[in-house]
Amino acid sequence: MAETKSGALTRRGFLKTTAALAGVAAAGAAAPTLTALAAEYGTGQVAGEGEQLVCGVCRGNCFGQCKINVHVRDGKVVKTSRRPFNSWPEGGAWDRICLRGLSHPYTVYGERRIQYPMRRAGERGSGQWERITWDEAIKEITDEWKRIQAEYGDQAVAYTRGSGNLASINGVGSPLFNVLFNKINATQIKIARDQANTRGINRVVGSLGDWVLNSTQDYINSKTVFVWGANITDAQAQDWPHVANAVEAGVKLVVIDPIYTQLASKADLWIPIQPATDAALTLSMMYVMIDEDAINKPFMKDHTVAPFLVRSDTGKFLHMSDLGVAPREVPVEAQATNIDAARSSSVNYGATGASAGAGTKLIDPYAVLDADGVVKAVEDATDPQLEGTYQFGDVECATAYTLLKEEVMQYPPEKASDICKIPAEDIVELAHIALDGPCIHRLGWGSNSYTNGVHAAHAAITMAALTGQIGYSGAGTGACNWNSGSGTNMLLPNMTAAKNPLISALFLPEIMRTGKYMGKDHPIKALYVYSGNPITNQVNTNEYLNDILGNLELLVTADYTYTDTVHYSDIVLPACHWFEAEDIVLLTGAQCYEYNAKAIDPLYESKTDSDILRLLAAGMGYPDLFPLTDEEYCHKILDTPALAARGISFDELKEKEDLYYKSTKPWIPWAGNSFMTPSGRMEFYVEEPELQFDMGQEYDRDREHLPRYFNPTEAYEGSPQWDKYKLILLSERPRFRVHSMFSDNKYLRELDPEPTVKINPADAEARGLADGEYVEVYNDRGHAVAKLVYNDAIRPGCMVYPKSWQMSQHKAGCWSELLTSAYDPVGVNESYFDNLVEVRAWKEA
Amino acid sequence: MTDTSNVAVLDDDMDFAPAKERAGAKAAAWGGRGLTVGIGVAAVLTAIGIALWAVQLSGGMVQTAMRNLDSWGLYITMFMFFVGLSAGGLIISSVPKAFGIRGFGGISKVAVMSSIACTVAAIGMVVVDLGQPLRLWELFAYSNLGSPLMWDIIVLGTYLILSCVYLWAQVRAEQGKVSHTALRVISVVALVCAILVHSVTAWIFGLQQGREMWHTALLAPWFVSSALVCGTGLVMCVAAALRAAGYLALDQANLVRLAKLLAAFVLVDLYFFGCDLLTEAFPAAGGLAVVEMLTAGPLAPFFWGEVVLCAVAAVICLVPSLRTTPLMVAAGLCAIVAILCKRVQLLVGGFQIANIGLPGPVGPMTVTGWESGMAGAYQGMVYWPAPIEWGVALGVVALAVLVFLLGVKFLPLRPQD
Amino acid sequence: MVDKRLAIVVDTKRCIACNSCAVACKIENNLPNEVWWNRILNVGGSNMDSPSGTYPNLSMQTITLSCQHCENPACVKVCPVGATYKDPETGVVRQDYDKCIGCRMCMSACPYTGVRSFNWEEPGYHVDFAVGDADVVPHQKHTVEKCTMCWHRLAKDLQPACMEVCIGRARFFGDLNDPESEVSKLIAKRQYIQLLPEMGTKPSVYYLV
Repeated sequence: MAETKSGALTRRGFLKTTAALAGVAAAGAAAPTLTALAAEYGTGQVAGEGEQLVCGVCRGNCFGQCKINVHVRDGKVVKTSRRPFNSWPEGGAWDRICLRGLSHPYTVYGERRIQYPMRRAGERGSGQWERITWDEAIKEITDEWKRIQAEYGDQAVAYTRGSGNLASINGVGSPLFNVLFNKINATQIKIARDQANTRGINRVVGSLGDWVLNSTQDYINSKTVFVWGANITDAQAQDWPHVANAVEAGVKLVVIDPIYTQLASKADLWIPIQPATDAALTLSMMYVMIDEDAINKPFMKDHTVAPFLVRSDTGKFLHMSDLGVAPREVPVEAQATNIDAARSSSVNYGATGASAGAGTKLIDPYAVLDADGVVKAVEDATDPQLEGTYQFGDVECATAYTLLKEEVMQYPPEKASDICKIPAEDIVELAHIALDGPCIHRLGWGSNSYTNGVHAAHAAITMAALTGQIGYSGAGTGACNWNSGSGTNMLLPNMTAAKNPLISALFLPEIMRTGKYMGKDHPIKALYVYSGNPITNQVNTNEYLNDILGNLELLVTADYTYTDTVHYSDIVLPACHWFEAEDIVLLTGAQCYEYNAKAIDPLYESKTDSDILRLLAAGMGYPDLFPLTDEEYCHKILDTPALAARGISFDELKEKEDLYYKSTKPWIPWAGNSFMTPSGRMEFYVEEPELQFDMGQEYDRDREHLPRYFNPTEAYEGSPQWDKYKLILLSERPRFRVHSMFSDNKYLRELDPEPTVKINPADAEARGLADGEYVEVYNDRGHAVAKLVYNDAIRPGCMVYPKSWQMSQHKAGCWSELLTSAYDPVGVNESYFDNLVEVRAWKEA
Repeated sequence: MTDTSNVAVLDDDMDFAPAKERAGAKAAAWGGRGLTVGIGVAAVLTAIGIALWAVQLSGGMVQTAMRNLDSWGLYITMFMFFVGLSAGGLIISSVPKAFGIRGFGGISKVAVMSSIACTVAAIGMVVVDLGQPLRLWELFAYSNLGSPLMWDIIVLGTYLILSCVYLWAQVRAEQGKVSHTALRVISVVALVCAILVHSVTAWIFGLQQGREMWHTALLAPWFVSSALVCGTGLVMCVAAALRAAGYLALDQANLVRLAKLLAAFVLVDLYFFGCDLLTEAFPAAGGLAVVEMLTAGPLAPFFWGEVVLCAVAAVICLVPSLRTTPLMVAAGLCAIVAILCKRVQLLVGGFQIANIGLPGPVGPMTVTGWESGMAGAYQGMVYWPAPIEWGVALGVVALAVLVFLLGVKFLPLRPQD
Repeated sequence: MVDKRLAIVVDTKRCIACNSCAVACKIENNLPNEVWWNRILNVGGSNMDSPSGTYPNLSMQTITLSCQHCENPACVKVCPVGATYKDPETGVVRQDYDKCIGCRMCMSACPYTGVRSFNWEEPGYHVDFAVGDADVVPHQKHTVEKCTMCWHRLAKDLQPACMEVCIGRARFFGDLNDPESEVSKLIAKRQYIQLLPEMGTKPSVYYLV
């Protein structure tokens, strides 16, 4: 074992142990079943005298949404524990909880609970408050909203949220907000996170939701699981046991990550890749596959756009109508909605979905080259050619595969090696492993967090098109599986359509600076924040404070605990905690609708989001906007014919507590290769890229047709900021919090007391910085002070900070100050890692 | 009755003729204003110590510098130290009587008194270290007779009583009320008890398989030899001081004889020291960490301090021309401080090297220097006493001094006039 | 009644240092502030989540460390009042807070650094009522405490609280005297290490490697 660099611990810093071999460790021997109970001592909970075990859901944005017991004794939440899923009676690592879910006695009763409505009594951010009544608060808010709307237009009132409470009556899944805010024609601001993967993948396969991959239970059926930039063990911990099961059963684990994470320490193969270069690696792997003629030609011919001819003038596919063949009108039956197709998270629930009704549609076949050299409709060709060109008048056409190959051939391993800093032979080996399927490729938020993230995902899904490893057991490519099902009804009574477009939070600084959106006046003067903490979590804090907050006349926040956003608000409303109201959770890691019973009454003067909305509606002059009770809304959402056909209803949910909502178990998307694209095939050649948010921004359409590698905005050697700042700043989602949730939880703070930043010892020593000293991390956008932690897991040239410490917890500055608000025009995604910084010793002023 | 007339050197300790002349007379109280002031100061410091102890108990031992990973500190260090001083003093006193050989000029009773005072200090140090001193009675209700700490309580208690009996016996013997034989027997028992008390104290540490530095068979003999070193040093200092104060007359020759004994004891102690170091270092395995910690690591000042002080004491005591009273007193002090250094090495050293020092969550209760993390906490000495510990310890020492001075004032401790 | 030898098996291949077992114990037993009976330790570099080696040749493991409930416990031998003792029927090493005189001899004797903690001050808590299980023995100032193997749960025929919360499914509990128990089978079939075996304490915790 190599010597560590600390002083006194070096000799005894290792474990004094001796290995004891017991029996023969047979290769591939399976461990006893994980659900076997001890002969006499069982798992589970026994309610003590006067104690109730209430069915609850712990529901931050950790992709877990675990079903838990909320133990109530003498009217207080004293404990939480995992509660068995009825939808997963075999167990199978779905019954779960984590250290955060266990710490809820503090989240409910902690000191920073907001107890009553407050109005700020000093300057914004001074922390001076005066207590007001609910009536005063609602009156002041709604009077202000009316004044602002009268003066600036209806759109001047905006609302936004984060991802704090994933329930559907209160919290981010609730359509009730759209009912109110659509009614008053407010502007919905959408957070722009974790979307680059979505853009890159969904434009090739269509949308079954934002984050779609085989259920983790399916990993055990793979030969190899590739994890690209996902720190599963810490950031999506509840997926880990399934990965562990797979590894134990002999599935190979390949981890591609610049950082040696806990997950990497479990991998068979860890690829220490240069940040932001995943696309280059993937393209080079495709090079090897094509070069060795190992691609899955039948799959490509039948299920991808590979043989489709592309017009060089428009960049679009050639259709038979271009060749003079008239499209045919055919009758179609009403299509049953794909029960697995989830909505995007970027929707306004007032948008009326186009239902696929019965009627007719036009069929205009795509044109391909058949083996006999004749251009035909793809349905009519006996053997569509993957490669080839066709002269269509004076327009050259080439097959999509020809174009792809041209691009891919620019990335031989030797060249890609220079970009991603991985030896060429390792790239070749990776390609071979990927060819030996079935393989799962799981993309995390690593590559997603640079402005070239869309193309990294596009490349990954394109590779699946070449191997055909998608849509069956053990095979898939995606950004982890976290999405809901279809069939719920969000068109609640009095829901109206939104008059204003959904606006990305990344556009907001510019809109606030100019007062314009898409060239037209669109002043925004009031913001309502619920279930979120943008001031801590959104990029470029100083820009947020100056340009957004600086131009707002009214900031209202509803939250249960005192966050940075609360700190900067004008009026604060106490929202109640998860366990203080009945609710339903429709987007869960276990892929079940889950029921949350009310365990205790709302503390202090707190109210549910739904009650707050009722009061605001009344204040705006719409006292009857919410005629139903919360329970009736639950019925409205869940008692639909589509769900009834599958035995799902609110009463059923209340009784069974959890109901699985996918079509199969485990769920494997794209089974049967029915992709949700216009062509029904994998469109690795993208005709017209869909923008995440369209503000009329300019983008390079040609660039978007195919996956390619290009540098991110800042995080590379030689970027404009490189002469001043030489360290790429990455963040991690640490186990001790979910974004900024739990950041003030005192139980967890005992284990994780203060902001830290991890650095490779070589980089630290080169700057004369010692392990454990306080340092200032800085760039042109701001600074943050934290304790330096030596860690050899950190790639030289990088630093990693556990994210979402609140401003008040730093000695100075905060992490989001350092983060760029630059974005890729197509992905419109917060690029958290696309930053360069430097670091120096912290000298207190 | 032993016929001592043929013994070459007659121990004037055993010649009680002059004392018999004063038979029946109460020992005259001795001492002037100086002693009274001394008693007063000691009493005040004792009271302050008790008050601080009350503060420690009510506000919590968190006020000390001890923490979970270094859970013993100044008090147990001082406990070891005072047991050593006490045992040493008594051994010096009882060996001559037990073996019927020449003593050290009648300082035997003073030596026993100092030994009693040190025993009081030792017991005091243990008591102030306890988290629940009010539960002391449990030691006698629920005794686990297999525990070395329990043995130590028993032996220490016995030893305290025995020391008092021994002192009383000497006084009565001088008055002719206790026979030579009886005194001889008591001194043998006292000697055995003194050796036992420090062996048992050693076994509190030496029997622990969990701490490599402590777990050696050598520890008990070594504690005894260390006890002899500091005990002899103490007796030398006390005797010289009392002589200077006019309390007793002491032949220089006796002081010299004590000094020579001290030298012999120091050399034996250093020999044990060397054996232990060599045994730890030779395999070049786990024990090397201990050696490195002592010779070059955080405890080096105490290690080299002991070595240097012992060397100085030995040289002074062995070189005739250096055996002047001031220098011999200095040698005695050096010996005492050297052994104190030894106690620190042992106590702190036992916690300085963690068996499992892996990085993990570190909080204010984990280890003394917790702010620096696991690695940082062990960079220097893992433990250094907090102010309140100095105060309470000083109070206990003051109590011992008080006991001694009261004995000097009111008890017939002087050798015959 | 057949005597049990209750043991804990931790699969280090599955353990991800998530700390859920530590927090479960903290809440279940209503541990005072800054008291942790179960600590998650990094085997590798000198900070949490840090490996040994130099980038990119790195290696990292985790162990969870709490009372090893030894078969030959060093602590039981030395407690002068018998406040710490081994239950003969289950093998659990138990602690009687009422008897403890706070001498901390057990803390010196135990080779497993840090598994025992002393309440250096009046126990404080982050919320003003007792959390966790109602049957947990209240904590006392100036006494020593440690993992009780959730004795109060054993009494209800339930496994210790740290077992079922393990995200990695890396923790196993059972009776080593029963050859059919999960723990018996695991240590028969897999390679394992124990901590400080040369100390002779015969710990009841096994780490699968």
